[in-house]
Amino acid sequence: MKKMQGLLVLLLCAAALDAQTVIKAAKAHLGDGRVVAPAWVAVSGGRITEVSNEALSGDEVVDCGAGEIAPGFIDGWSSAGLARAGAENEEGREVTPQVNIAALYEPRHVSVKRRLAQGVTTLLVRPGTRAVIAGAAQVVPTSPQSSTPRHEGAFLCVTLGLDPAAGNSGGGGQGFYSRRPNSRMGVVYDVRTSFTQVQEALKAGTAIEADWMPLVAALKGECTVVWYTETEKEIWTALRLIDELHIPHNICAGAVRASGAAADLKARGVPLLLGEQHWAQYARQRGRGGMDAVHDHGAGTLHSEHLHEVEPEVRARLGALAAQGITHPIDTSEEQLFDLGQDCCMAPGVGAGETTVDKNRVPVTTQARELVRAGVLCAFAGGGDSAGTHLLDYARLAVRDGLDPARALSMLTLEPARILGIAKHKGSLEAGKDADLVVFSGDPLVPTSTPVLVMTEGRIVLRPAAAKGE
Amino acid sequence: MMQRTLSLLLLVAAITPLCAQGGTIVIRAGTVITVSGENYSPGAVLIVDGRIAAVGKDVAEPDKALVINHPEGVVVPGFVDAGCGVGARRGLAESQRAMMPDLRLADALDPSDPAIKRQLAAGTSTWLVLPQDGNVLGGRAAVLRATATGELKVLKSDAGLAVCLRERSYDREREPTSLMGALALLERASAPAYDAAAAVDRGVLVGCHTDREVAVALRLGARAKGRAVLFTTADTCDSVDAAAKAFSGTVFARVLPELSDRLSAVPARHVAAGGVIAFSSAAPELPASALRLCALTAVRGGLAQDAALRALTLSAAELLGVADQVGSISSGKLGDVLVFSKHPADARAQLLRVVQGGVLVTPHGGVVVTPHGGVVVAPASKE
Repeated sequence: MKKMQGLLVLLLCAAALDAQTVIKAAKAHLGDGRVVAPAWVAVSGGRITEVSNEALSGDEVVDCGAGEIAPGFIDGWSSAGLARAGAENEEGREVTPQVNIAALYEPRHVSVKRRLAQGVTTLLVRPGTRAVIAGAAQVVPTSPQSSTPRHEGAFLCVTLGLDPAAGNSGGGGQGFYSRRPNSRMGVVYDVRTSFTQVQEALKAGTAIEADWMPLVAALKGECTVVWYTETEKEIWTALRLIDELHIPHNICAGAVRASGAAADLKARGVPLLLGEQHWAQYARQRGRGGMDAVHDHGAGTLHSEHLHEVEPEVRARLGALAAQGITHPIDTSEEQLFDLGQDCCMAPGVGAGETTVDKNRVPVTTQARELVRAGVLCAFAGGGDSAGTHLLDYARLAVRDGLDPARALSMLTLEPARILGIAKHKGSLEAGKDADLVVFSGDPLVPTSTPVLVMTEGRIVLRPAAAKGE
Repeated sequence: MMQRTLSLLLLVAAITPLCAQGGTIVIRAGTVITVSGENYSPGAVLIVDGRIAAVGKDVAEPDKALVINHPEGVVVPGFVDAGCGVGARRGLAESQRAMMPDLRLADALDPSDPAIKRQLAAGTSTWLVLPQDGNVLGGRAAVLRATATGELKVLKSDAGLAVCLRERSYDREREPTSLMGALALLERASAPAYDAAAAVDRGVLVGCHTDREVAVALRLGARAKGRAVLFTTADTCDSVDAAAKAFSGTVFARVLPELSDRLSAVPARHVAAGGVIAFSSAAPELPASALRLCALTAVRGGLAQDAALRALTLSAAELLGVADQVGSISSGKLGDVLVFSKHPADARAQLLRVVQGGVLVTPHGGVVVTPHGGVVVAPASKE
């Protein structure tokens, strides 16, 4: 029965493809910070044809009532659609520029469907972080029906930090799984050696193996290097390597703690994709009498099992706040935030581990604000599919810690599109761009709002309940 | 009225040190030991913009300078720790292959290492970090320092090529599996390795803990044409004379009070044989204060107080190739000075003040130096 329904929707969509669909809502967030209210968005042939605050007519008008429209979200650092998710690694060698993760991307995978239902319409799907030069990443749509051509080989992933070294023994062994880097220093050594070898071959005019061509492309500026940099120390390393190796196009990604390097990122013009920013971190910081207890390892050791315990508490609290008329997280007072933190800290598992208490250190969840203030081009990324780790949750969290809401939305839409170089087609509600959009039941940044309609390239993939005739 | 004036005065007094945060500071004390030149008693040091501008019996006092007076105190240069792991946690052991001359320690820095502030609190202004002992050729060491607030800085990223002849470099499941094998590897591969070392101006840094390892190191020391520094402990007591002649210097770690009289005399014997010595704290494995403890133990073993202070400061700076920046109180060098209650090579001396890069390390900077040489981070909201 469900299949039939899906088929019906599909047929309807196909029929409506060349016709004009109009989506009517109370408000449209264009993605560049501007807002249109009330809003009509006209879509035809997979593209947006017009955005207006006056009524538009079309073959089909979808009335979303008090809903608010936002451009489809773009997650610039994702492992959705991969059967083994972030564990998709080629570990036979440390340096594998020749592998391309896009071949494994399954748009029908449940992890993609979940993201689509959250309003995420575009991903940069990337390999795991076990190899030093981990291979190509690629921009892909979350909609299985998408016909957009993919530009292969546009991104090359390089991992800094300890991930490629984790679990490698420092003590010899000649087996297949005996890998070399077993320190932070050794990881950088691999990056430098690989690129310098290619540079020398280019200079000498000698033949370069096909496997190494992605490095050539990176050095010539034909592809962007995405540096996986979990904390500031990796960001600084990346910036140093970028200077040393003269790599033209770069992105730092996966940053859990980055604000200390904000000025340096700004100075070099390197954009940043933030990594996971979850509730548990927030709890850790607030739960200590207002002091910022920052986990020494960043978020790396906070596991999702803790989040499951924490999250319902927070959800319930936010619901209670909303019932009191406090609808916007930024309106919550310090005490209320503190209460939330206390609740989270009481959850088992949270609070263990090596911590440093340092009032000079910027808390993790305020870093989006700090980075924006420093003028770094940055975006949220690395959204998960369990509750509390959705891409949008990161923006909600940052808004709560003082990030401008309009900016928070653009850090889910236009900014990632700019960073990934796809802003010509994606990232904002503008005539001529792809019709990727999501309608929420209310303000998208309020935790109680939920997506009611998702459209990718003009196809409605999630519909308002009312319009389904249920 | 009187009270208001007084509180105004107090306010001015409270603001003045903040104005001096830019790095203009005058330190007057009972004695200034410059290490590189004359000593002054009484003496004064002027630091402007983070560098030493003048030292003498007295110095001109610029407007808005922070003035520190210690009529009984002894001012000495900030200490130079010739070997520890501070500022590079979890990044140092790249030991899968024996010969890794191109590794760079500066690639593995960790500015969030809490041990950085502990170095400051113990009076260590500058320190060397060697790659860990897992390889025969372990890559390039780096000289690091911190700002008064604990920010990590690289003073020199190519501070020498680390060679390790200790058992840890050959007890792994790979070639070499013996000291003999390690030497063969070094002799076979040493031409390019020493070329790499020649590119960095301090040559080779050789780690040994036993006399037989030193015997092997002596062969290398000769090949490196006196451009090698020996990193060892007092256990290598039988090779004192040879090592003092063959190496440009010797760095001692773990010269601690529990050593026998015979072993604690080893650093003094090196100096008597014409060698240059420095000390290593081995922090964070040992506390940062182990650096001064090494000097104190060496003094117990017969080393002159001034020679011990030289080993803690200028000799170490020379061996690390940073004597143009740190190691003594002379014009143009970085403004790192310490105020002790007595000569720092006297075990009773207390560290009273730490000035790093012309900035007083204070509670306001987030760091409090406690009488025990420990460190506490300033609490966030307590009055």
